[in-house]
Amino acid sequence: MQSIKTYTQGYVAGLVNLKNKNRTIRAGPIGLHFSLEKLHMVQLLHDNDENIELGAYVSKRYPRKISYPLVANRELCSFIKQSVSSTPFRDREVISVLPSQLTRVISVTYTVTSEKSEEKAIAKILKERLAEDLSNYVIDYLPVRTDASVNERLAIVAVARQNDVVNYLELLRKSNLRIRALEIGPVAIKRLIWALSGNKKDHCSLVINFGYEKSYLTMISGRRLLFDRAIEFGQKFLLQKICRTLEMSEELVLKLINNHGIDPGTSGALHWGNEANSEVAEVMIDVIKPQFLRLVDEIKNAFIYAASETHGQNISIVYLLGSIARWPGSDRFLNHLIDLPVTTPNPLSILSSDIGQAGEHCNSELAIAVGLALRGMPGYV
Amino acid sequence: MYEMDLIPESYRLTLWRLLWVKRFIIIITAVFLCNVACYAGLEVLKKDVQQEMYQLQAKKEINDIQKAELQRLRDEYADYEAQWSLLTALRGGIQTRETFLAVDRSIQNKDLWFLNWKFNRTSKRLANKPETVNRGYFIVVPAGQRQQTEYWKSSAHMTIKGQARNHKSLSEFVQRLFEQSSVENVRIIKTFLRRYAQLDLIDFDLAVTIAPSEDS
Repeated sequence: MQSIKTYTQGYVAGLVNLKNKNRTIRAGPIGLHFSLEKLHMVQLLHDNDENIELGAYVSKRYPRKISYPLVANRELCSFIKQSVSSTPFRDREVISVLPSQLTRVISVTYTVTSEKSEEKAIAKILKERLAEDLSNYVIDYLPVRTDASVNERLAIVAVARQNDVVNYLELLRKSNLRIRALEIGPVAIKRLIWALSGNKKDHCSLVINFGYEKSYLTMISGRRLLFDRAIEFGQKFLLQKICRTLEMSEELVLKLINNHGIDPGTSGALHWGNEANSEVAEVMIDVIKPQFLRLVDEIKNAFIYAASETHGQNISIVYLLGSIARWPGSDRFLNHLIDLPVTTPNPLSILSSDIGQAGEHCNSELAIAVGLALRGMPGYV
Repeated sequence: MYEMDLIPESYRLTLWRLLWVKRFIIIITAVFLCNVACYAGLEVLKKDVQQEMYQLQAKKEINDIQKAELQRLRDEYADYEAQWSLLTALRGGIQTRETFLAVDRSIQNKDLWFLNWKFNRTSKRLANKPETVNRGYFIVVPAGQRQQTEYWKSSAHMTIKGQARNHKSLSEFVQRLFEQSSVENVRIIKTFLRRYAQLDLIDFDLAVTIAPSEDS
């Protein structure tokens, strides 16, 4: 059923692109993202007027839980091949993101002198931090603070073990995909947020990407990625807390959350009455609120950091992505705690057509894949 | 705008090399397949040509057999022709009657008579050589005369044994024989005086060659 639905989505998207044959439509690369439970792939199209449309996308649950590091085994390769072949993608070139489990993102402050280049300065710092031979790693960085008049600069550095990277690249290659670039999640998110903000340079936002064990705070100012930090806060941690407190199984807790949400004001439940719904949500909130307050502390720290890096510029919005972002009412609950606009973005809302407006929660899963696919689009290169 | 990329350069280089190895293998395979196809095509062509050659050889063999048969028939024909010309020569030529008349004309009186008279007619196979022209070092054979032809020459001999009363009668007889146009030569083989009780007679043997008539 899932595959039929997926194929239909892709097919409809393909039909939309055929509406106007007079335009020259070019396909960008496929943005490919292995999330915790699903494989997401998105391909965008653009015309001469730089209008971006959805070419095709697929969001498919893994046949079984995947294990890290990802290696090119037959089952996973055939799953990827099947997902690609069942969707009308125009090309097989992909831009992907290395799974967060295999990557370390570090903010590095370094000093540039006339004798020491950026690369050498960063390499020196990394050598001290990693205490290992750097030849075993693949390293790339994004300059954050690049004022030429100041010698002390800041960069976000991505570090991954070369073996893990090669294994991942081999997985894609053996799945008959051509890899154009390999990025990290925060970079793809930054590109998506830049598109969602309407390309506003003064738009400062915080993205909280909830993972299973860890979550990531990503600060974005215009097109700049200010920082990306992992925090010990994840779905697993919250579920265990609720399970222990309410003495329930993880599956039942997840079911209750999906039915009732975590906001007393939510109306997500259809089967139960609103009153009962509210009561369940209140119980859940009572349990998880202390944990969320820890998250709020982290967010406030991020605000302070952002203000220092952006010369007092305030964060205007908080975007939620990932597992907890799909819990009904999570955005309103956090909004209540930090008193800032909090939203779960619909990545397909950046498109010219209205194909992706429905099912926002489902679409939010595609955030990183859309951010990756945007790399091939005009204005986002 | 700087973009992040974690693909190691060494991996890109490996992929690039792999791509060229693949292309090389594809080109080699394509060339090999082309060769195989060409070889197969040429083999088919060769088979056709061989088949045609066998057919031509078979035809040639048939032709050789026919040629041999033709030669055999020609030889047989030539043989029959020779026999025919011999037969014709034997059948034709000198008229016996005329010979007798010539001899009879030569006998003027009764002083000479014959005791035995043999008449032999024979034919000789003779080669008719082509007419050649001597031009210095070369002997030129005119076209159409390259082959020797054969013909039969018939001749007739008479051996006459007889007796004459005297040498004068014999001499006159021989003289008269020479005068006959149908007589080519007269040779007295031997003369012998035979004595009887009452008279002496001369025994003689004459060889008369009759003038030949040629039949090719």
